[in-house]
Amino acid sequence: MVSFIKSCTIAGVDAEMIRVECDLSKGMPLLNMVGLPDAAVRESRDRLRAAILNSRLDFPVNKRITINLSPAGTKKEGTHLDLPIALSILAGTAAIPPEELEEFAVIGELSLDGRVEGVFQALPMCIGLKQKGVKKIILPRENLKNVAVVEDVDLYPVETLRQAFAFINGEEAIEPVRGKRPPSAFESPDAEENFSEVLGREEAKRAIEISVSGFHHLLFTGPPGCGKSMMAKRIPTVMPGMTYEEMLEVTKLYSLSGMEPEEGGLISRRPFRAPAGNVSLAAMVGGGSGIPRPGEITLAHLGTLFLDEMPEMRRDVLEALRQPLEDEKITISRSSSKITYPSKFMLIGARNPCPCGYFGDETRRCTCSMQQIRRYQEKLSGPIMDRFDIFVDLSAIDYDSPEWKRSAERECRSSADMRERIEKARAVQEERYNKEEIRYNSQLRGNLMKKYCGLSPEAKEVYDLGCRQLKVSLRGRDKLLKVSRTIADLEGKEEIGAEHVAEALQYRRRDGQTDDYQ
Amino acid sequence: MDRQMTINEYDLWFSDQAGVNLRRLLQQADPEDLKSFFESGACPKWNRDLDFYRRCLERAEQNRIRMIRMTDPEYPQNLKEIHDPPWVLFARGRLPEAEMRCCAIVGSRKATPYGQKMAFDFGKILGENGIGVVSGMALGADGQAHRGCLKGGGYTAAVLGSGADICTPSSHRKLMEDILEGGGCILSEQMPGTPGLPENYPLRNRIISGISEAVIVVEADERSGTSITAGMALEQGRDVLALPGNITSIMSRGTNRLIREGAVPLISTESILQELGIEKRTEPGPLKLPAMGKDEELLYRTIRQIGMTGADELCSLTGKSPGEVAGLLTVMEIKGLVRKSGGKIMIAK
Repeated sequence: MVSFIKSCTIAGVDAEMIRVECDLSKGMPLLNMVGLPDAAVRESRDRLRAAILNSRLDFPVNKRITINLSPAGTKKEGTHLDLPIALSILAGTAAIPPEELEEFAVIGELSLDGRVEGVFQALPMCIGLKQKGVKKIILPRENLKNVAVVEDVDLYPVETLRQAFAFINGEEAIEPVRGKRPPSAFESPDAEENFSEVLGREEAKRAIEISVSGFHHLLFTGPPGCGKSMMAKRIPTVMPGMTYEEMLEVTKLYSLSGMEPEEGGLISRRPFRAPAGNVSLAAMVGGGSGIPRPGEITLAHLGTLFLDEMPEMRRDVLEALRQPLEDEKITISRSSSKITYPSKFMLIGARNPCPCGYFGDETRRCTCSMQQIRRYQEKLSGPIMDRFDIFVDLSAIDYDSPEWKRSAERECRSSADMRERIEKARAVQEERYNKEEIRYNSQLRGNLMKKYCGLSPEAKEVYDLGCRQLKVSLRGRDKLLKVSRTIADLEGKEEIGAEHVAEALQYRRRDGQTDDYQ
Repeated sequence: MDRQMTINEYDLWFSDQAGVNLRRLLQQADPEDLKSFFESGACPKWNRDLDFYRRCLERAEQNRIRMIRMTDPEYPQNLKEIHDPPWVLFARGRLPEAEMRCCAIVGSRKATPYGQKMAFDFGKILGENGIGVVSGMALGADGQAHRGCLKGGGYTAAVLGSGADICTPSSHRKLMEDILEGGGCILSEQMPGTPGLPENYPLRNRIISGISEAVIVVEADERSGTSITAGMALEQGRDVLALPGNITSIMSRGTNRLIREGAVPLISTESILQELGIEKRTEPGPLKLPAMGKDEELLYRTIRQIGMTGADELCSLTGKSPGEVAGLLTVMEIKGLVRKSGGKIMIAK
């Protein structure tokens, strides 16, 4: 006789439903498993025999057991199939009425004494099962805290195989936990990190404000110690909150990498990833040997990716950013499969003007040769530079100058202040684009740009004159429009005015060396 | 000169190999003698064969490089007077005419925005007043000097440390074309095809100062190539003029030191004309600035007062928000009133 139990397996980012089929027939005692199980799944047959016996349940004797994981053509991986397989075997011995099993999907790992252990990637599995129409899920109690955020699903936490078996047999009831969205927890920015500690640097803070508001990629250039990293580290404190869907998506991606929050629930703060300079290609974009894992750019999804000392990074790693920056996703091709991870992030880049860092500094001597400087600056290739919308050059701070002291004494804008303005600008965009496919100004393209980036007559004048006089490239002009749009949104203006375009022009790319003087 | 003969491989060999004293000796010599001199084997340095020089000749021809022998009338008179003039000059474009006065502008490749602007301004005023500008076409100050001169409609010559057919640095290809189009020339004493080797630069510098009657040093670190040029200019008996700078700025240390050692400080752009003893051709007239709004004027005055500054300082000094300052700066940049580079803002006009 044959029994069926639903479960799932992870393929890329999403879970695919699978069906565990078990057939018991007469013959030599044997347990066969087919349907492309990986090593972890194959090993489960030893675990489940011991687990069933140690739970004082009947392991079928003198039977030939065939387990099929259907659809048989896709690879199955992970230890979460232990429990569904065990239950399918027990169902095969007619201990469980098969129709009872129809409504449930099961995940869980078994230990030899019959306890049900928590599994890896439980959240994406439950989200996937829900999308496939499953309403009831039996899962390890350990995973409950991470999964209870999936709406409209009844979760049946179990601790032992015996308990699961008794529940399905109708011998013992388990109180289901109804998944629900958590109250939107607003985390106030950390007390230690606040933009108010960044003295002066008002220009850069303004650039960050614009950048975060419109999700624009930003590149800082400046000597060491001018505050690039300090400011970048404070960007999370001005990032707007996330919607439930966004939180779910981010938490799911972290769960895929085994990085779900310890205390359970959802990740409520936008990610901020700052990979080290020697990060490998696989760690950056995802993949790796064996089971593919999301990389830094996917972990930064809906948040910030901060790359310090960008020219020191490996060329192939930098070039690999081109596709995700353009398409907001990354596709990893394997001989057998293709996986697409989402990667919509805001890129904050930082670089020095030269390898030693002091090129152009008045008070310190730059020790690099011109060739080194050129090579350093060329490390960021044209296509990568083209992805940035906002460029800010920072000069070294002279801590003894009266100007700096004066600006340091001024009230500095705090994170809360900046965040308030950013939230407003975001709200304007949400409303404007609610019928479009995009959400931020930085995503404007072609027709949409024409539709939403209308310039007032004076603004048009500044735009034309500025582009011509300041030698803005064609690609630069599109960025100029998008950044102007964001600035106008920050000021709460429907139409882009001359002052917005003028300000946006300050953040254009400058090629200092070749400019002509008037 | 009735005996103007075409340059042959013996000339190139001689230019490349012969010691300084021999050149002096043979300055009046018959080029025909070079062949017998070569064959006599009297020259101690001897590491390239004649085939190499024949190839150089071909290469020069292909790249339209003219060769000028020291005995040719075209050869710059000033250059003949230095200690070790090159026997053959390779040139693309038009050499300075005999009556043309030339002035060199040299400065660091890492010149600050200030140095670059001043190099440009000096180049321009010299160009406007009919004085040729000689420089090395390097990044930074040199390039700006050429650009300024071209802007002023003047004659400019670039002396390279590589062969005249090789654009060094390669990123200045456009500038090189502009120089040639503007009726200037690209000069070198190196064989065509020679890459820009570091050891050739001091040799190049002696030609830059050699052609000129005066050398303007806009910015130089101590112990830099530019300082060497200045020293060489003094040896050759050229006037050395230096641009004073902030004593805190590394790039002005060399020039300030030169001033201390007796170089003439250039206290304004016009003062260069005075030093060279010429009347300014263009009417000075009051500096005409484009019309400015109240805020622009406030910003302009502030920048003028404190010199090179950052946007943050402007915010705190004028009490305006960073967004406002940014917008105003753009308008002023469009009008050409200020310049921004490396995060620093300065007056451009």
